[in-house]
Amino acid sequence: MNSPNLNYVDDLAGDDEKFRSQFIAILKKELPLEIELYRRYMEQEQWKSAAESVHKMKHKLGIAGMDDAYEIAILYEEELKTGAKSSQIAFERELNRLSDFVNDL
Amino acid sequence: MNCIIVDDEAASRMIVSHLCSQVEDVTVIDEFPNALQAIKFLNKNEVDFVFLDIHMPDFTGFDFLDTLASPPKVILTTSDRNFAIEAFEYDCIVDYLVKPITLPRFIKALQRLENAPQAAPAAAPAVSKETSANPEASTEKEMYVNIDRRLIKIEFDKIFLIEAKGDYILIKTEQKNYTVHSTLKKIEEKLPDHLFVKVHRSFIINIKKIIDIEDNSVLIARDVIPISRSNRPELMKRLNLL
Repeated sequence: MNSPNLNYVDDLAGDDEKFRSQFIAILKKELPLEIELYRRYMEQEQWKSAAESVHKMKHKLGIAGMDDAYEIAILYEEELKTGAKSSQIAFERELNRLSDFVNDL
Repeated sequence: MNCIIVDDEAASRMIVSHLCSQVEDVTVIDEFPNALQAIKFLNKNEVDFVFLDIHMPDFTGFDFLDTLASPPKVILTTSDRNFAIEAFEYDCIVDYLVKPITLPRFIKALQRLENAPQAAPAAAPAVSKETSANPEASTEKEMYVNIDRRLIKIEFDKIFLIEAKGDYILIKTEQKNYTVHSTLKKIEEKLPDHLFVKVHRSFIINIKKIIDIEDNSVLIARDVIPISRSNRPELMKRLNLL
């Protein structure tokens, strides 16, 4: 599994430190909200809505360079659309890694 | 070139806006977290093109394109690789960027945009089967919905509109709103044809509750509801026009 990193953000920002810090602030604000929404949908067994949440978080996994986790998210999103959850544990493990990484930024 | 960004994800809007700042001749004149706000903006303003996210809750990028009578050029942005085929059905879509977007791929999309012909105004499609008269629809004056193990009676003529919300539908009535675990397609079969019409993939409205219609939206009580291009002919057919 790829370790979360800021390579994409650094490439994007270049020398623009202001953009870099603002973007990280957005990540720190937006990701916890998306995770909270995902967990609520899972508790309420709203699988299609949970799939929508996974879709949003998939982008964040990509931003953090977690390519393997991104592929798990693609699979899990499709599973949720049919009410299946085979990849739930794998996805949530990667989501926790991402969350820890973003919290530490 | 002037553009707007439509994406419910703040991080995505920030990335696209930053990428735009890296290239010459592209100015972001506004950003919108949902398609409805962008439609209102485009009803009064012109832009050269739109960066459009496909996957937005309740009202997708494709819903957005279906609603605009003459959409500007569009560069789709999405985390989903599977929408490419559907994207080619729209003449206005010039490219398709998979997130996270890189600068080289972004520049390539802008080059395609510059070389693309201006999107022609789309003709209104024929009335869809989904919106045509439903002979099997109920002749009853009310229906019962299951909410928390109780069967609640809802009178049809008290309903303002019904909105698809993920796994649920939201039924807005004169008295209160009801969230029911069902689909728009299922409830459509129960509704009387003379009262209800589907105006959008996510909305069925009560024709008697219309206050006014403006371009591609209809005012029902306090809600402004989008009208998609494909559903507009059926709505107009059902109105008693002078």
